[in-house]
Amino acid sequence: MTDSTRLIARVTVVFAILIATSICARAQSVSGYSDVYYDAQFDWIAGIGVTLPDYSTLYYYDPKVHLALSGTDGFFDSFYCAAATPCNYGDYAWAGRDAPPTPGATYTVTAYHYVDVYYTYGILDPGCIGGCFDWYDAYGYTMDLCSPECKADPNCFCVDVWGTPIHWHWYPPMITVFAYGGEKYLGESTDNTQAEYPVLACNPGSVPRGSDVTCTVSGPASHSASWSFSGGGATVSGPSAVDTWSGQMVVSGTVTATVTGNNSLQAGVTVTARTGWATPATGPQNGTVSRCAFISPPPDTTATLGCSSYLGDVVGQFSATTVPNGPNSGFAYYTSNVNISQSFPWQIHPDVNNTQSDFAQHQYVNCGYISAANLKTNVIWHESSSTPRSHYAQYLASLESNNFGSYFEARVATPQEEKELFNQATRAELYNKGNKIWFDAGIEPTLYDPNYNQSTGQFQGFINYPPYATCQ
Amino acid sequence: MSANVLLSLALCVAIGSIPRAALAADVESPKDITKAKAMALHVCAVLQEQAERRESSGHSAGSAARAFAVKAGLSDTETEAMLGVAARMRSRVQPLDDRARAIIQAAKQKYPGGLLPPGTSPPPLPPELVELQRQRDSIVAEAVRELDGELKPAGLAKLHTYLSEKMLQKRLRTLPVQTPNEIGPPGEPAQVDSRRKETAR
Repeated sequence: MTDSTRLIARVTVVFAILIATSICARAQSVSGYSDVYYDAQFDWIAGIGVTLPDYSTLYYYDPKVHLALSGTDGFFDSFYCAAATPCNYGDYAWAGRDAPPTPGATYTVTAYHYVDVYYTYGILDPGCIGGCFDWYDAYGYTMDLCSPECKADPNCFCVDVWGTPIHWHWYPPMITVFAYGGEKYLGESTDNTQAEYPVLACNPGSVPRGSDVTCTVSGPASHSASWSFSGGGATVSGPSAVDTWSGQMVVSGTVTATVTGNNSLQAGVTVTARTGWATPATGPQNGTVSRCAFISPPPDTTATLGCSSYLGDVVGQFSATTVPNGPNSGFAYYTSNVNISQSFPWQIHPDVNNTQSDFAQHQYVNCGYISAANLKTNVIWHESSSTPRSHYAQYLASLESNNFGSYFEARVATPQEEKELFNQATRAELYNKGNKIWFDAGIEPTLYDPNYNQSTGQFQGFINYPPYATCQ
Repeated sequence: MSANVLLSLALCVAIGSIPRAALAADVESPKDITKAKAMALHVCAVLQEQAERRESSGHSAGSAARAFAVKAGLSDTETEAMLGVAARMRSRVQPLDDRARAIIQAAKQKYPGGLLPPGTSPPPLPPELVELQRQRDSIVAEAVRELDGELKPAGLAKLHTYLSEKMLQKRLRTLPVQTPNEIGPPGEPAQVDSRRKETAR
């Protein structure tokens, strides 16, 4: 449509409104409407056009509407109202087209509103052998569009035909063409919209265990979503006909919102471990290890020169708390840490510890034996050093991989699990971890025995066991 | 055409010839908003009928019936109110539409395909059809008033804003149509004969 015709159309709209609302004798009135919107039920963009005539218009005309739907994503489709693709619903004309939505794209629908002239005249075409009718409307719309110059020119081929149907007859070598004003264009209406998807978002998308998350469906129009959660070895069915689902999250998983039209939206939620739950290592304590028995003086190479032990226990009771609502409703977890009692006592042989003992005095450095001081250092290192090749270092490594608090923090019961059994299983596993740590710490460190500097690996001499060798 | 009708048409044309600036200011007048609301109810009624057609043919109705109200920004409650008014209006105008359809079809069936004998004018508009239209307009006007009451000021404000935008953006239009008598005397073959016989080249 050109600018001038748009101006005319704008003025005629005002004119038409005035006519329709005035107290004058009623003239014909036709409403034209177009709309483009996102239909969540079908997950498509719907473009529609309606031509709505009043009774007097219907008396003389048949309503019609053509439609074009286009998108900035390159989509284009159109509907042409014709005998094979009718649009007349008796009292009005309707046309619709659909587009698959592209997020962010803008779609424009333009409806072209027409009425078809109903009453026509027909005359027998004298040039048509066998009888042919030419048609023209009875309202005075039909006009001759061939220019006088063309008419005067015997070589001019005038095909300046408008309106539908186009009528022409071919009588070789003659052709008959005439214009037929059977269709009246009233104007167009247009609408555009940006495709808006319903979007599911869970905020925050990543939370420490036990923190609240809110999942919301937003987007065009209003939404009635059915909710579910899948993760942690279970599925939770949520509410229906609400656009928000929130609650504490204790396991990672996927939240699904099925909106109108079975359009499933999904969002992942990641649950991270709470910080500060790892059970810290206890320090080595020089004291008495009950299981150790020392023979004085140490009799031979099988004698125990030092001893250490790991002691761990679960203190008190604990019980998992069930999440009351939200995507993780029914899951259970621990809201406070388990209390673990730990100790790592170590002890060395009194004869090694006392460098003035008879055993210590027989360690002749001058004859190639290890000194009493070095022996004491090496044995203490062997039991309690936090560097490799000590029992205490093995305790540290085992605690890291069998940490009570880390395990306890991550424990989550599914909605189907019986909570008391879950608590019992947790306690049993804590005991297992304690046993594993105890076992790992007790394994004899390899590579260096007490004859060696535990740090450098330097051989420092043999131990002089009774009966003591002499040294000259 | 009677002298009264001619006089009425003349008055209408006189109103239509008001300077453009004055007309433009009238676009969003209360009268126009009332007219637009009537058109909006018609549109809602058509959308409802299309939705019912889809459902009756075994398909999901989709969101068509609610499309207008939702795009107008009405809340769920307001949307239901507007659809309710439109549905009640539909049921009230249905008998009038049925009667009007019967009159129109009867007139058209006298001339199958619309073909008039030479020299015969299109049939004049039956007075009953005019009266039916008057009754229909009255019902629609009542529906508009009902809508005003149902939507409350907040809902009405949203609808008015939307309709004003719609009209200005040409999504909702009143389109001019003329009757044969307004156009002038029925065309005569001698006057409008545009048949051409040209030699093909």
